[in-house]
Amino acid sequence: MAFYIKVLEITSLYTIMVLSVYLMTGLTGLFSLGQGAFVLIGAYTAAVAYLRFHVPFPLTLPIAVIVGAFMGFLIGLPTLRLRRDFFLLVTFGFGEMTRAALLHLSQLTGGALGMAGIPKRVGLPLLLGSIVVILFITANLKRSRFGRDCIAIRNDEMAAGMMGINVYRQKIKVFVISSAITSYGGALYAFVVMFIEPNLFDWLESAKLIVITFVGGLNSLTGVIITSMVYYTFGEFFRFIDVWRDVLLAFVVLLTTIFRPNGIFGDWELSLRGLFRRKHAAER
Amino acid sequence: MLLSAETISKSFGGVKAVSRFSLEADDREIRGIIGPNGAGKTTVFNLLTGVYPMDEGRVVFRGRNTTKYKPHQIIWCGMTRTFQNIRLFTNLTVLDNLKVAYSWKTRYGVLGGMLRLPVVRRIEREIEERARYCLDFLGLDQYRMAMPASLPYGVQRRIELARALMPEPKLILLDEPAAGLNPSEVRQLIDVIHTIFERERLSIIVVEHHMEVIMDICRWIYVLDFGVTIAEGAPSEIQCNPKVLSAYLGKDE
Amino acid sequence: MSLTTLVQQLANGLSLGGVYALEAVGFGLIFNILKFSNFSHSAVVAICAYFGYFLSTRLIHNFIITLIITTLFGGLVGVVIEKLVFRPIRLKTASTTLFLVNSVTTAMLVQQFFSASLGSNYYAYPEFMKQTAFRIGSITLSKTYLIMLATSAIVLLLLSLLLKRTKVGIAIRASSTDIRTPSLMGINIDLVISSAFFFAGILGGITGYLIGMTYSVDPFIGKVVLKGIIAAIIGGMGSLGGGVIAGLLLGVAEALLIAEVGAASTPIVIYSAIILLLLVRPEGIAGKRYLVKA
Repeated sequence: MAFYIKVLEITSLYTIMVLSVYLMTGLTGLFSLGQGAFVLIGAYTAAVAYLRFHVPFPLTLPIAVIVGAFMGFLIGLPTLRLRRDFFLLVTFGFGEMTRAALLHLSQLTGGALGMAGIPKRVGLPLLLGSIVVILFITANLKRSRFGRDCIAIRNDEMAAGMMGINVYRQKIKVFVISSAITSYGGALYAFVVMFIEPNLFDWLESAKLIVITFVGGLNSLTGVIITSMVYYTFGEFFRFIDVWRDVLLAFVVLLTTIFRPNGIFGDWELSLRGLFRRKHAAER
Repeated sequence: MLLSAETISKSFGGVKAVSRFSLEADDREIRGIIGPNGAGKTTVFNLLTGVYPMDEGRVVFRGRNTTKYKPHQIIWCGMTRTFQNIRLFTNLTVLDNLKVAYSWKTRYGVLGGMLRLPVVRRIEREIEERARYCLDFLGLDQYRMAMPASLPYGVQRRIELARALMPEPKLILLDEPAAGLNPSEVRQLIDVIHTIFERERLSIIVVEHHMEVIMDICRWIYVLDFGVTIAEGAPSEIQCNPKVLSAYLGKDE
Repeated sequence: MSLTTLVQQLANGLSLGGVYALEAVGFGLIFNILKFSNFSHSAVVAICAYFGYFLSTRLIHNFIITLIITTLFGGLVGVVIEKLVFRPIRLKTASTTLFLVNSVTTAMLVQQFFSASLGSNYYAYPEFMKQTAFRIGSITLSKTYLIMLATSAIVLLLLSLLLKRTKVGIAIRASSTDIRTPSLMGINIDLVISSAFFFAGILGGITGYLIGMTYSVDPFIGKVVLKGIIAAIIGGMGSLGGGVIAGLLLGVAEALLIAEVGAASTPIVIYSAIILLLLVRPEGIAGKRYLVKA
């Protein structure tokens, strides 16, 4: 039983990360290979605040979110003017920089040894609750003008600008929100796994987030969640073939992009109203 | 004067795409720009809408100097456009495509969007109403939940028109709206443009090849060739202008 | 820094920079034609590094022969990747996003594959020569580094000749301006693209072999490609020569920085500098600004 709970905890944790990336990558088409930096920022902010500065646990989470949002703003401001592949590279650089910085500041962060001794203050209730809240926020944003503008930017940046969207400002908003959520995930991670070190989220893990978003379907929030949960649960259950799991994922991604470029779930979205609408359509 | 472009120019590398072009448009009038392929017509539109920075000249729109404005700022002043090759958003429904054009006018922010407050729901209803009005105007209501890529070319063109109407503009730039349409569709287009003009009280500038369209709807025409204005005037004058004829016919030889 | 260290680091930096230059060109070739960032290049490098290892330790013990075979193998791998991973997309949707996703995924696949099957062990190439270093005065120069530098120089020279003199090379250069040009020239565009991937693959093969030989082979060896990509971007997309220069500069800068501030801080300095450069001049040193057509 305890094992299943652990699996669900890990899965939920990573699903939060995937959700944070959905806004940025799925909706808006921004690819960042450095979101790992925000996981680290969130995790270390929370851990350092708790262990070194004795900040009470409930406060560490909002602090991590604020720091994450702020760093997102700082990094986004200069880099979001770049074209997509340059942005990808620059965020990769930022990821590496953050790792290097964390290794360097060993006085504060424990360097390569990481930080241990973080108590388990986060359990399933908070994790699942967080997913629900983040889902609520993301789904609402997707339905609103925010979401439409993001998808427009992803489809055709130039035409989006011609429709009155301030593309740069929109990208910054998205990036800040995404980074804030990612940092939140990182903070939760610290209090679930109880040990953090600079290598726990490198460019590869960031790439996986992007890739899962694609497989799940850029337009399908439901699809992304399902894919994420399947992937990470699968990984936990089949720990012994853990590395092969990634090879399998890579194959699935390649097949998906070739045969179902809109993701496995395409545009399908699970919604309460959708169920009603189908009933009405049948009646007509 | 609604729009006044004064001697605007643009070069790409060594090629002078547009050379000291001047244009005026008042409230409630339709003007046209014609010329052989590559004459620089679309470039003029790109300059007016801020896509390219101009090398010289200035543009004044509704009393504002929009010369250095970014495209989205110019839209905010009340100018919209359609494109030569259709640029609808492929992952949005037709209805959403239209709603995007109204985004900048909506009065709720990220926080409201996240929480879906009552005021947000009300504003969304208003946007939906406006979008359905525009679609209805062009007889497109049946397509509102479809994805643009699955629709016929002529329908997509009309959707672009509907989208340009969404933010209640004062001036619409139509870039070759008749391109790729068959003769009956072209006649429909002319009727639609007339209807829009009557009902919406706006001005239109059309870039076109189809003489039928231009001659029928425009009050004043500018003729471009190699980026230079070789003639301007009322349709009847342009039709007989020798320079215009040689620019067009000369190319055929 | 003493003069000896300076010269030594310069030499090291140049040879490493030579490899970055190769990578920059390999990356740039694909970018110029298909207008996307080919991250799968690191897959080619990794595959060839392992291939070269197994070839030279199990079968043939000759440096030059194994180098040549690995190089050609690299070209083959490049073409195979193009056919399997990129061509289907190119024919269906040609969405740059999907190219990007697939290229990153391929890199991921190969890296994880080697990680899974061969583990994180380091594989060392066999000793090709008795003496690995020689001295000039008080300066110790590594032979392997010099070989890297020499090989890179020769390859780049050959490649530039190829691009300037052969029909395929000219077609490749023509397609960077407009992808439809080759068909107007009567050349099959598929052939041009495959050739570009072949040449890029060759460069990847050499890189894999050289890096594997100089350092050692591990699943993460593809990372060197990222340095090459950075060099290509700094040098300016659209300019292969710019990429070469940037690659060399990057190598030298890295070597000097490591000697001065240590390996830990070097990434920070370098990436900050790159971010700053891209902010000030997004098109790189020799690149051109692309205007989006409306």
